[in-house]
Amino acid sequence: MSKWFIRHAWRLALVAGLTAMLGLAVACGDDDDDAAATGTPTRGASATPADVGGENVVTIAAGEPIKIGAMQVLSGDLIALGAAARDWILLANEQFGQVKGFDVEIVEADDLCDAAGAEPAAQQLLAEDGLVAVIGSICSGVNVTVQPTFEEAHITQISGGSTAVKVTYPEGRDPFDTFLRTVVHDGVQGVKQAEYATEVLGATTAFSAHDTDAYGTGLKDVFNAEFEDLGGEIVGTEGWEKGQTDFSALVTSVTTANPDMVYVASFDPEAAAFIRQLRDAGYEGDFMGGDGVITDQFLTLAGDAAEGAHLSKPSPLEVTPALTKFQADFQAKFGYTWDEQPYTSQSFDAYQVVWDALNEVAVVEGGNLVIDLDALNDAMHDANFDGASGHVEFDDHGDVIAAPGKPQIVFSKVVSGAYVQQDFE
Amino acid sequence: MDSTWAKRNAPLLAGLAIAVAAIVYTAFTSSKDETFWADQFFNGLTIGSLYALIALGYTMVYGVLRMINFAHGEIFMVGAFAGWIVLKEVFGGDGMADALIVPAILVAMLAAAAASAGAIVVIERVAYRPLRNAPRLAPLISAIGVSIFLQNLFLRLTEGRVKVYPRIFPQGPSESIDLGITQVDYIQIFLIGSSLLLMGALYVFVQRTRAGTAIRAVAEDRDVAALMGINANRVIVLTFVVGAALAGVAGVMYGLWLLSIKGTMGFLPGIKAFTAAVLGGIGNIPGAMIGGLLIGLSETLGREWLNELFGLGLGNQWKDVVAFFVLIAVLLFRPTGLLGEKVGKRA
Amino acid sequence: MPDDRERGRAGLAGALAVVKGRSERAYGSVPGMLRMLVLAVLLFAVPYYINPISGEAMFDNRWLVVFRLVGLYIMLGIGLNIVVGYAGLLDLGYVAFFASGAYLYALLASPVSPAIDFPIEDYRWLFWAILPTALVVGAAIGIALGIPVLPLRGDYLAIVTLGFGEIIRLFLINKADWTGGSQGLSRIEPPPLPAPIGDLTVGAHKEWYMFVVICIFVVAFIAGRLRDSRIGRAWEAIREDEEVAGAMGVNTVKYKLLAFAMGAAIGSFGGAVSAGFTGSALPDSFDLLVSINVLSLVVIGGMGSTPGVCLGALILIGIPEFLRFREASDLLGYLDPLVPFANTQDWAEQIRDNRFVVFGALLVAVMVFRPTGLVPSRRRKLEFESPGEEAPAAAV
Repeated sequence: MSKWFIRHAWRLALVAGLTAMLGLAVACGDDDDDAAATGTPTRGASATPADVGGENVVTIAAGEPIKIGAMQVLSGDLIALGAAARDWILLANEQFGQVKGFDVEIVEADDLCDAAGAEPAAQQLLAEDGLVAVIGSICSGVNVTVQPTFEEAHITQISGGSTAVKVTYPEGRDPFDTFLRTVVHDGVQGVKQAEYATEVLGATTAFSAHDTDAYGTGLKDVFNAEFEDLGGEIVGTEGWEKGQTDFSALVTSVTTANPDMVYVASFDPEAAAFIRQLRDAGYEGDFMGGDGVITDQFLTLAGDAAEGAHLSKPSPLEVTPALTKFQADFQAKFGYTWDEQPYTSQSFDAYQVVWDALNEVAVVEGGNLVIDLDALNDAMHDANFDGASGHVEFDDHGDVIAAPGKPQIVFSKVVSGAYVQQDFE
Repeated sequence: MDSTWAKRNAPLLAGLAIAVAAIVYTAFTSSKDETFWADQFFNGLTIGSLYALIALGYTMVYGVLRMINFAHGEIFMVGAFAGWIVLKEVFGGDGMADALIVPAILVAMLAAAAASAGAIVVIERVAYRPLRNAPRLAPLISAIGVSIFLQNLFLRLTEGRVKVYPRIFPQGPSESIDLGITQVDYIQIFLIGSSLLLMGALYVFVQRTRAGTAIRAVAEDRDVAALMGINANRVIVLTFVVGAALAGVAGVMYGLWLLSIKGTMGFLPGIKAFTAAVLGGIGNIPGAMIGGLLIGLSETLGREWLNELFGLGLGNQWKDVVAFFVLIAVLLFRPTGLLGEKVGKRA
Repeated sequence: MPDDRERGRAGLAGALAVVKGRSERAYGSVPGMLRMLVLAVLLFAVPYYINPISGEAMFDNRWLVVFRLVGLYIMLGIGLNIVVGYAGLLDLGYVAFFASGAYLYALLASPVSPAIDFPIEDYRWLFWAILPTALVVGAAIGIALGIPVLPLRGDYLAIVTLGFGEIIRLFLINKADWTGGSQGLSRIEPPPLPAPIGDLTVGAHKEWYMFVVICIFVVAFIAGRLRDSRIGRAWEAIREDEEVAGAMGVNTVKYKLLAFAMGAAIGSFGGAVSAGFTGSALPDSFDLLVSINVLSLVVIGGMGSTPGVCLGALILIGIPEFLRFREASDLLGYLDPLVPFANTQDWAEQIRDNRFVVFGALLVAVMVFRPTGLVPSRRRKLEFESPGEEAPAAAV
């Protein structure tokens, strides 16, 4: 008898597995509403029959939370980035509190920063009842893949870290209404950096180093083009793979070419190691980096080699008491500094955009909260405030635009181990 | 004898002759000065020494067990973290007194060797020994599993953040020896020197001691060695331990030099080191050493040399490509590696 | 007229005999073929299963997306199975073929592609033309990569193929003017289908799932027929002992190249399909981890066996994805009453956050307890378990 079991073990296992899946699907069936991708009009938490009519309306029953998705990279090599953004969102959630008496819950989804992980993450979020908006993703590749999905579902996506230009300038079609971002894209930052390099640093030759990710190559392309337009010469462009720590060959190339400045388009771990090795090799020219570099971790990792580095980002124009309180709370709650990773304050502001819009648009009807997704989208587009990462206001592509009369990119120089803002228009 | 030897190795000799001619040609026509080439040479030697130390572990295990220990790169990572903990917690990190630096480094290396060795003993017992007689791919997949496990474990433990070694080894613009043609940093001398020392010690160990002879015996023919009274299991564990200890020390050296360590740091050096071991002839200890240095050199010096020779613009991001090309090129002409493989019967 | 009817009946009997003969060759018996047919229909109809309790679709888009991914890896696994399982060639660079198919399609279909500059939107039927082309191109690349590695054995082959995989990935990332660089190629238009079915947009999860199911059956059928043919037997001989096979007259060069070509063709095909349903080709998706995943699922499932590949894919690819579902943590939450001290909901979240650590441990566990894989082909089991005889040295 047991022999029969062993011989047919795999068939039994298959049947058991299938049954388990069926059981899962059936047991949790009544919580499953798949209306998202097929665009059926109403989605409700407990299928209240008396739903408010109209397209794309989310009704949240009393006692149920409003859900905001956080689609970030939460595993693997880039976990530090995504987890930090998620932590900021969680803190914002705590600080901002309820909307019209309803709790707001953050639902996490891990997109693996990969096109393969993007769609499952999006579908998971869309399967949540009461989902009204999604904050994420930091990775442009993910966004490019899921933008059509969220557009179909009328769910607005707002990203605090995706900087590729093409995310808001898609080829062959209009920009996605359902996508916003609180982070300045490469096309703006790279240009401003080139201007700063030529005007303030007075550099005529530059060595351009970048990481081979979409972020690094995109930003480097913009900088190189603009720098050459302004009359400078790029004496070398070399890249590195994310995670590289030994830059000796590259450093040798730089010291041999001896340019006026070294430009870096990457994130802080590599930039820190690179600048350290550059200074150790005796290079004395200027060093410039962007919003991926300007973090507390950069100062820690680079130590005194960071001295004199010029870095850019959209940073808080005024440090308000509210911001100071946020910083303290963050450190207390999560145990690391608020600015250790990039794109954290942008994710915080993204949350505020959603929260403000919710307060504007959500209507309490008969104990339930009714949210019109399209109205929510409009309200989010109309955001206008000064947040943790600077002024937040959107243009018709969904990109954040500068406050009138104030610069969008702010430059800082590392002086005695701290960032000191420089004046530059 | 001479003419047949020359005939058999004709392609190799021809290749060498062409290479020498090309080097001479580049030396005369290069636009970059000698400092550049000398610098890249020492860069290559430095990283190559680390690759060589890690490659030794791969090659020894393969010689004895015919198995690719895919998790060896993670053993390297474990050693780096162990050294970091010792330097930070026991000695106080950056604030340690100058007099403590040398003993601190030595203790850190010992601790790293111990940690790596300890890890591999556990891994061998749990994940490899049960698969001694399994189809050949089973231990490979098991090793891959261990690798993924360790990488992600350390990533989770550190929350994906980079940890920083205390900057206790003198590094800086003037911390070097002037050779006239270029400056060689103290840290580079330290790395290359220590690696050569360790490799020499290993060679002596394997050739001159009883334990080393036992390893060679088991590598040659496990059954016959057992018949001769050698406890094959213990020798196998010893092999793993020696390889792991070397990798652990390499981890500390890496940390002292490059300062940032992360859970995923072992993956790429592991692959490079495996490449180096194969390049030199798998199972062949001197082969692994040469292979490591060669891979290191081809990444830096070789790449720039190709740029010069063929006008390619191969930047730093292409270095892995060059390393793999060198591997493929060598294997095309010598399918068992530069110095030939040294594996006995698979017992 | 009786002649006609007799002729008709004879014709019918003849036709039935042909079907019986063919199905016997392919499936061992008519019931075998019918079993496959039933399985195919059951799988095909998965999106339409209705949950009896709630009246909604039982497997909504979340499930379909995961099934689609699992299905893709099943296809890749079947392809690698030919190279590693049938012919015994250890290939650690399978992702190169996968990438070639994806980029073949993406370079021709993406508006940002550097390779074309005509209005590609007018040629959306291109996808259907690319699929067979991907097979051919894949086979060509397989042969091209196979020729230099012919003399290499075992682990040398492994590292060289790994090197090829990495070279291709670095090339895709760094040669931006040929491949679109690390930004990748995206915004690929959906392949069109006749009207009532609707286009295969990125959001058409049902349709893509069914398409993938069809592809799997086709690919599995082809692989099965290859295995049971002279080619398959030649592969088996080469796998067991290459020198002896050569001595017995098997043209090892031809069959090894054929194995690479077939495996690469399937990999390339899978790549084109993958580019189709994600609508993009990003070089980050084509790293060493994909090759390792495919190899692992082939070995874990049981080499040389297609049901094994399916099981391997379900476990290695499906489980990390299923663990992310809210239901998974809910389900583990049901265990709470049984385990009074611990908060199983918390455990579930821990498992979800640490699922790759669990994945690694799972690989080790499965190998230690079932070294021949979960569903080994009968021949492997015999090889491994026959008493008093050690596993052949060259067997993979």
